[in-house]
Amino acid sequence: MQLWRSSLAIEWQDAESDFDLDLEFEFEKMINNLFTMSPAIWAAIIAGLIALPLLIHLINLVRHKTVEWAAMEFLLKSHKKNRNWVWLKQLILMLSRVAAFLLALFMLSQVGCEEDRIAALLGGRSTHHYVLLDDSFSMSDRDNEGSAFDRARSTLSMIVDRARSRQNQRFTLVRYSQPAQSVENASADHSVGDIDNELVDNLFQQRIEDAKAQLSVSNFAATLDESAQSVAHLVKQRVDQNAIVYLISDFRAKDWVASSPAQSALEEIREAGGAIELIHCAPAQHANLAITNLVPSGSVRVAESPLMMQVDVTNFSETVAEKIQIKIEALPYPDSTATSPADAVATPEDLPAVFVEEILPGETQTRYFPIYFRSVGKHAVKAELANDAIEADNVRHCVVEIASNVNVLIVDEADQIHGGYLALALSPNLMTGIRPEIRTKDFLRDNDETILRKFDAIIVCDIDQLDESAVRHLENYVQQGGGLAFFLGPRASIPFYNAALYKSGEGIFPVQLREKYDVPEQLENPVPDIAPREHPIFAPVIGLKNSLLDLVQVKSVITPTLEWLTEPPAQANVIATVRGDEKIPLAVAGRFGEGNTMAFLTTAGPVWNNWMRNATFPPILLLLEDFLASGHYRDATNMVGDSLTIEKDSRQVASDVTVLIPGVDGERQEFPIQLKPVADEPGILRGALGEIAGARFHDSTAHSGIYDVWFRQLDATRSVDRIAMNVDCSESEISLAKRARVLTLLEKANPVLVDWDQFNPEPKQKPASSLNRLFLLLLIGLLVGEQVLAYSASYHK
Amino acid sequence: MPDSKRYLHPDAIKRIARLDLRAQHIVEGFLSGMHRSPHFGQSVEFLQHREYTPGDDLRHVDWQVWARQDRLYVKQFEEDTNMRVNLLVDVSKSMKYGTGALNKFDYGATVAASLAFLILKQQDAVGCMTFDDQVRARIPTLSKKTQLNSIIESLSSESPENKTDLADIFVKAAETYPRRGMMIVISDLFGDVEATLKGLRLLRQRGHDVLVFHILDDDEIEFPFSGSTRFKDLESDTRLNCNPKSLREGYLEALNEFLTEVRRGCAKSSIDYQLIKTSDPLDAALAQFLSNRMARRRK
Repeated sequence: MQLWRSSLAIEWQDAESDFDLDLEFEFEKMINNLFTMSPAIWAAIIAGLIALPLLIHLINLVRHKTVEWAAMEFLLKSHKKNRNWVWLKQLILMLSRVAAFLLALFMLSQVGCEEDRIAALLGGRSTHHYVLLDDSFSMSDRDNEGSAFDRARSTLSMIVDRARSRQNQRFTLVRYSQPAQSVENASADHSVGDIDNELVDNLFQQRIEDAKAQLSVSNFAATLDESAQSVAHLVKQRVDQNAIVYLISDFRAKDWVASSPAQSALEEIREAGGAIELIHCAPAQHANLAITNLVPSGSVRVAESPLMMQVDVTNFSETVAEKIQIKIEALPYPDSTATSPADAVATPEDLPAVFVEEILPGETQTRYFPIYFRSVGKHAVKAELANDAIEADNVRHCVVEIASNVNVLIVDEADQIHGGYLALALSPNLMTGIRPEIRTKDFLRDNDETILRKFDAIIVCDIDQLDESAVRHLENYVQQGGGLAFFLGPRASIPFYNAALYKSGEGIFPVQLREKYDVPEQLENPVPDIAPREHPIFAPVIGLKNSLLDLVQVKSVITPTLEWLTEPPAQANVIATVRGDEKIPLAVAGRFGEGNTMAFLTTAGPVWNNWMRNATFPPILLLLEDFLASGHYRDATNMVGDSLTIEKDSRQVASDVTVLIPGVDGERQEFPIQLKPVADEPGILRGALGEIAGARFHDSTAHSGIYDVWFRQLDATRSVDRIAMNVDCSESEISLAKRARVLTLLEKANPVLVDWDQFNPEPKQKPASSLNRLFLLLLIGLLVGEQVLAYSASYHK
Repeated sequence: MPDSKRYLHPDAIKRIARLDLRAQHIVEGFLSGMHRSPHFGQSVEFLQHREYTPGDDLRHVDWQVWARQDRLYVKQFEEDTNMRVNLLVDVSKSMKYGTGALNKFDYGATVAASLAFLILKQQDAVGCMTFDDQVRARIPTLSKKTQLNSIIESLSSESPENKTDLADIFVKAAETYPRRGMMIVISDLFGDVEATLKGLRLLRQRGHDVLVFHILDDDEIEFPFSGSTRFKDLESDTRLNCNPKSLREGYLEALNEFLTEVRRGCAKSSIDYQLIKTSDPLDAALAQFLSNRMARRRK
C-alpha cells in the first residue's frame, strides 16, 4: 500500500512538472505568436498609438479645476478678445504633439529601438550580433587573473546579455579558426559558425552556456581574415538587419598590417551599415619563449650512428631570457608486431637537456645535440621548454626516419681508379652507416630514377660521356631531390659536359668547361692549393690555421669558360678555388630541381691531386654526402590543422588504417580511416585525416604531437608511418598592436575599441544616419515648440 | 514689520473669531503703534488721570500731581466731535471670493467694525448699511455705547448673497442718511462702473464726504491661475472653461481699465479712493480714515 502511494506521488509530481513544462512552452509560443500577428492587428495597434496624443490632448481639455470667480466680467472680456487665437494655439499644440509622437515612433524604428518588433514592423530592422572570437593559441596568454580567452568568454556572456535585453535579436558566433564555410559558400542559408543566425530568446541562455563549455583555445595560428570575410559576406546579404560585429581578440601586432583581407572585410561591413566593436582581452604582453624549429641537421640517418639535431629557440619577449633549459625526449619507433596500435606503446627516453645561457629579445638561438637510435624506423624527438605565458609553442616534435644504412652510388670506369678511394673514404668502417656501391656508367643507362631513388647520393667520377637515357635518369633523379656530384679527370669530354650536362646553365652540371689547366709548381712562398670558402662541407677546415687541407697538392684542373666566369648561373656557387684564384674554381655547388649538385673540377683519385691521401678527405666527403642527400630528406613541416593525406600502394597494405591521434594531456585516440582507390592512379590507395572541404583548420589534426598511422600489410604484418604536427610559431609573436595603429588601420571601418573590462553590456545605439539626424533635429525642434506652445497655452504651472 | 503691524495682518486677525474683539484688537493695536497721536492738542478735553506706565508719553505726565503726591500720573483727554460716519458695506456674492486668510467680505466687515469702534471711541456717531442688490440692513447713525454691538450684529448676520447694484444702493443710502456726514463705502465695486460712479457722485452732491475702500483679493489683481480651469461666476450661472494663462493679459488689461476708470471717477468727484488687497494689514483702512478725518478738520 505504501509502495503504491509512493509511486502515485511520483506519477503526480511527474505529471505536474510536465504540466509546468507545457505551460512554459505555451507561453513561449504565445510570445512568439505575438510577433507574427497579422498586419491588420499591427495596423490597429499603430492607429491606437497615433490616436494616443489626440486622446491625451482631449483629456487635458476636459480635465480642469473649478474656480468660483467674482471678477468674471473682465475674464469674459479677455476671452472674447482672445478666443480665436487661443483655439488656434490649442490646435497647433495638438498637431505638434501628434507630429512629435509620429516622428519619435519613426526615429525609434530607425535608431532607438532598432531591435524592437514594433520598430521592425514600422520599417525598423532586427539586430544581428556577429561575434568573431579569436581562438588562436596566443589567446591562451595567461597571467594571475586568467587567460585572454577566459576574458573573451566573459565578454561573450556580456554580449549575450546585451542582446537578451532587447527583442528581435539574432546571434552568430564565429571562431577565427572555424569560419567553417569558404567565403564563396557563406550565405544566409548555410551555417558559418558555432552558433549561426539563432534568435535570442529565453532558451538562448542555455544554448550559449552549452557553446561556451565547448569553447577552448585552439593550437592554430588563426587570423581574422577568413572569418571577417565570411561575416562581411553575410552582413551584405542580410540587408534587412542591423549588424553589430564584435571582434574579441588579443590584438597582436603581427595581425594588424596594412591592406589585409580582414581590414577590407571590416570596411565592407561598415559600408553595409554594420557597427564594429573591438574588444581587447590582453591587457599586457608577457614573456614568451618558443621552440621554433626542431630538425635533423645531418642527412646520414642510420641506426647505431649518431645524428645531430638542430633546435631553435626564439625569445618573443621584451626582456632578456636567461638560463633556458630545453628538455629533450626520444620517442622510439613503436613495436609494429603488437596486436593493436594501443598496445604498441614505446617508452619515451629522456635525453640530456640542452641549455641556452641567454636569448636577447627577438633573438633566436640555435643549438645542436646528438641523438642515437639503435633500430630502424621512424623515430620521434620532442623538445620542450618550461611553461610560460603561452604553452602551445613550448613543445615541438620531429620525426626522423632511421635506415639501416645510407646507399651511395659511385659511378666509375671499370678500373675504379677513383671509385675505390671514394668508397674507402665514405665507409672506412661500419660506423658511418654509409654503404657505397661502385657501378659503371651502364648502370645509369639501365636504371631509371625509381631505382636510383634508393641512393641518397650519386658520385660520378671521371667519365667521358653518358648515354642520353643515363642523363635523363640522372636529371629525373636530381629533380626529385637526389644528390649528384661530379669529379672530373683526364677522361672527361669537355664538349659532352657542356652540351649534355651543362646545357647553358639549365642542366645538372653547374659549370661550363673550357680546358684542362696544369697548376704551376710553387717554389717560393707557397700558398695552399685548395682555398675553401664558407660551405657546410668545408666546415671542419674553415678558419683553421695550418689545416691539413693546406698540404693537398693539386696538379691539374679543368677551368671554366671565360663566359661562365664572367656571368655564372644563379644556382652555381664556387665553394673552393685553386690557390684563391677566382679564375680557377676547384669546387662548384649547384642546384637542379629539388636536388643538390656539386662539381669538383679535378679528379677524385690520385691522378690530378693527392687529396684522397689527406686526412681531411674522408670527413669532407662525408659532409659532401650529407649535403647531397639533404635534398633527399625534405623534412616535411606539418602544422596543426593541416589535412594529412595518406597514400599507399594497394599491393602492400590493406585499405583500413588506424591513426593514433594525440589529445589533451598526452592521451591518444584511435581514429579509423578507410583508404580508397584513386581513379586515375591504379594501385594507389588514398585517404586523408581532416577531409572537410574548404576548412582552413581541421579538428582531427588540432593537437600538436606525433600522429602514428598504422597500416595492415598484406603479409599480415603491421607498419607504422609517423607524422609530427607542430604549432605555427608565427602566432608566438605576441607583441601587442598599438591601439592607435589598429584604429588608424580601420579608420574607414570606424570601430569602437574597448578593453574587455570596459565593455558596456548596455546596448550601443547605432549611430544615426544623416537622415535620422535630420529627423532627430526636427523632433527636438518640435518638442521645444510644443513646450513653448504648451506654456503659452497655460498647460504648465 | 513692527509688532503692532504683525498683529494687524489678516493671518493674525483671522484667529479672532468675534468681530467686536477683532475691531477692538485692531484699533488698539493701531493706536498703540502710533508714536504720536495725530489729533494731539486739537479739540481735546481732559477726561481723567491714569497711573503712569512705562511707554506713556512723558508730555502727558501731570507734574503737579507728581509734586503733590510723589506719584506719576498721565492726563487723558477726550475729543470733542460731532462727526457722523455711515458705513456702506457690500455683502453681495462677489465679496465671498477670497483665497487668503480673509475673503473680501470678512475683510470688509472687519474693516467696517474696526472703523465703527474707532469712531465710537472718538465719541462720533456711526451708522451702517449692508447691501447687495438691495439694502439688507440699516443701522441709524448714533454715538451711543451699544451702537457698536448693533453694527457688528448686522455685519455678522449677513452672509454674501445676490448680485450688486451699487447705483440704486447709493441712492437709497442718500435717502437713508440725509444729514451730511462721511460715507465710507466698503465694496469690490463689481458692477456697472458708470452707475457706481453716478451713485457716488450723488452722495457727494448731497454733501457727504465719501471714502471708498475698494477691496479686492490678490488673485483678482494678479490673476495667477494656470492649467485648464473652469471659472464659475459667483453672482450668475456664467461659466468659462479656459487656460487662464492665455487670458491673463486680456484680463489684467480689462481690470486695469476698470480700476483706472473708478479711480479717475472718484478723483473727479473729490471722493477719497483706496484700493485695498485682502492681504494688506487691516490698519490701512484706519490710517486712510484718520488721514481723511484730519483733512476734513483742516477745512
